[in-house]
Amino acid sequence: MTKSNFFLEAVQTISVLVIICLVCGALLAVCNQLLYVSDAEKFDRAMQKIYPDFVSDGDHKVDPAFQSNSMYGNIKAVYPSKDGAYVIEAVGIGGYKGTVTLYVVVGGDAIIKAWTIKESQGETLLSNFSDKQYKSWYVGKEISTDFDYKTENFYIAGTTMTSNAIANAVKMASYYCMNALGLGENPELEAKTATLALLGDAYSAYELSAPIALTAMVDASNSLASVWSTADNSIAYYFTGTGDNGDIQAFVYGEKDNYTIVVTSGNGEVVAKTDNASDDLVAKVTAGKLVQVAVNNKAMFAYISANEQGVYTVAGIKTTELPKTYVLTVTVSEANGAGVVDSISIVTSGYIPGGPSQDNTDKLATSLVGATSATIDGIYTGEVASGATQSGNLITTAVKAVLADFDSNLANNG
Amino acid sequence: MNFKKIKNLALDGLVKQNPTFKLVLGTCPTLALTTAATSSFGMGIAVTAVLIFSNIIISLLRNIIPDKVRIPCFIVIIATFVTIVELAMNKFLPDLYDSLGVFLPLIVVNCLILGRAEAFASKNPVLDSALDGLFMGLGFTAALTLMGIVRELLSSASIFGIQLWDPTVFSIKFFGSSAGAFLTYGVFIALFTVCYNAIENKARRASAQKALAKEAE
Amino acid sequence: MDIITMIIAALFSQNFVLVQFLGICPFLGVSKKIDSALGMGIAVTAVMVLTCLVTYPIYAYVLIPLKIQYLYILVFILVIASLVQMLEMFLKKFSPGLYSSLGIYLPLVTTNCAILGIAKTVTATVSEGAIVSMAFSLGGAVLSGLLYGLGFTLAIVLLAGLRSKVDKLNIAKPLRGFPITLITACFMAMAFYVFTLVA
Repeated sequence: MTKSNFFLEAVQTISVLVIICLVCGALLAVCNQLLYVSDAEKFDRAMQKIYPDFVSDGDHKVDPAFQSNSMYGNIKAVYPSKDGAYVIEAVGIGGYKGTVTLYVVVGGDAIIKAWTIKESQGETLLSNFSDKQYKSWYVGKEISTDFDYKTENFYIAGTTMTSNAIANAVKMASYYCMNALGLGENPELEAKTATLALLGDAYSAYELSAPIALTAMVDASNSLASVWSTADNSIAYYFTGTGDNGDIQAFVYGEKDNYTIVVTSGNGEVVAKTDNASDDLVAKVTAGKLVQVAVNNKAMFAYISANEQGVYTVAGIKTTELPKTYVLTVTVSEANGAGVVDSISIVTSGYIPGGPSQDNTDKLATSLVGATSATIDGIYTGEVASGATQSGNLITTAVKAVLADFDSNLANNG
Repeated sequence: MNFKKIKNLALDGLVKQNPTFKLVLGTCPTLALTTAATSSFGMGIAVTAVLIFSNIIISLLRNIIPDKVRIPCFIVIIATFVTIVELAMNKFLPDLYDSLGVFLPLIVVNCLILGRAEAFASKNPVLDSALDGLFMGLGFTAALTLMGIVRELLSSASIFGIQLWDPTVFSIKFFGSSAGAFLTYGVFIALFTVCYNAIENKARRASAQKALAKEAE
Repeated sequence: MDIITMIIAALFSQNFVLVQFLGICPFLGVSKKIDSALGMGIAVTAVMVLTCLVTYPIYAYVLIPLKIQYLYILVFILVIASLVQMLEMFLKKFSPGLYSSLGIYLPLVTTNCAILGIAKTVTATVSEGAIVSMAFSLGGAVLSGLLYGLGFTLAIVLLAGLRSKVDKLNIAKPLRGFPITLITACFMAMAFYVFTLVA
């Protein structure tokens, strides 16, 4: 008797709880439907608050080339206004992977008119931000300003991550406005435009990479900038292009309205150059062979500066975030119709604090001995590569380029 | 429903068992949100709403909910109302929603609500429970708003967002900081206790005198 | 972010108790003696780790795909209540010694804002265009739970230490109890504030 009573009681108990849960769940589903705030509503609300003059000027498709930036965040949408302003919905990454989504209003004159928080994910201290306090941050500034929220006091103590996220969202919006919308001073865009003008119609349909501002790099030793600079010309930008006439690389020196430009093909032959490009400069640019790859969305370069019968001097270079360069001497010989790495030694390791130790770096290099183009990708084991992904990638990039060059020479020379 | 009962409930909720200054419950939002009077008031109203509705439902279901699962059931009901308040606020009061931040969902673990459900609503009829919820909530709101006004006034020279004077002339930013929150709360509790004890002693003395006078007759 | 920044943030500059105001009730209530404070701290840390471990997959693989994120309050709090209940039963059966020293604090942990707070923090999402993805990995979530729990423990044990000294002093009557505890916490908050300027 007692057993079935207990069972009945248990069932009764649990079922009450379950029924209550189900009823509540259903109630919430209904409420969610009724009270759902759509994106369009959020937008209207925000505009009422910060930019009542907004009149929609049609749709704008976000340019995928500039939609995201690993340092700042990404763009969700852009709303053009009839008066020439743009409302950019930008997501900024916080220091801790939380994000903040802002609406940033940028005028046609490249000045930030207003902004507001659309929503934040994962930041618990948003309650510290009262509209009053932050309304004045960033407003009235030109978008190309290099914002540093700490020095400009655009933050509230104890909310570093949220303030950082907001700063990044503003920078992201600025980045997009400068590059995709062409607002404000945009030296990178000018460099590209000048180069395209030089190349002429045949190259007008080319797909160009985003220009890399090499002179802004922190690490000066063996950087690409110093590799290609001469006494009179320090390189301002470098970018690649692909299209019907083959791959091109463009080296832009100097300043707006007075550029010195040299464009080479994938084989190192000069495709076009401005009149003021000296022979020395051209020789320097074409002397080495440059290969650009993207590893995990980070641009990396392998620059082969010398090749004496299988003894290569090659640099693996990273230009973004924490710039780093490894210069290696790689000896390659032929075996079974393909190049095999005989030895690798590291000439300079571009050590930065937080990078792998000298020992680990040596291990990275020595473990590639015996690699061929076919096998090189599978060599790094977890042990060797942990904590040294970037360095590993750089060294691999450099050695891969060497092997590819060796193999193609073999193929060409029989 | 007699007036005396309502009066007692009101006195309890607002003063005698004031959740913030006497019972010291729901301390997290008290410290975090009192930097501005509007968010304090908003939080107070949100808590009051949840208190009233959950008290009503729990009181209605008090004979149906089995004892063994009563805490989970209460929690589910409270969580439902908190979610409804959250959804509604996001729709109709988005600025308040942003300023309350993570503390809006945290209402569900506010000891005050679960405490009242357990101590009162599960043992009393609906109307009484609703009123208890109302007055406890009002007590919480009043306390929070008072603290909010003081802290906002001192740290940014404004009240409910209206700037009263130029903060650069006189403002003590400290009261807007987390250390300031602790200090203000501590001082408020001390002051409240002093006033409360003084009034209670006075009342006791008055009734004692009354009793003596009656005896003398 | 590297591990050092995470540790400094969780323990100091983004300390759940003294900076984010989560977990204040037990912080004020259970800090009279150092052993009880330590016990509470450990219980909270354990529940935080478990909570992150369970709520993260539920949010990522159930709530988001089914687009029912609005049910998160209901789901999280039920998960937390169940976890605490199960932890209690587990301790009672397998470690009665631990249970008797921690046991009284475990039910209190359910209503600790810090637990729901950490669940909400680690299930943060990052949106890229229309795609929503989790800001933390599962490992990162559990690690955050552990670190923030340790931050809570640090704060509550420190307060207990200070209170044991303060309670021996002769304090004015109205300040005794909560007021003096809060004022002590005020000084602690001031000390921890220094870290927000660093990281």
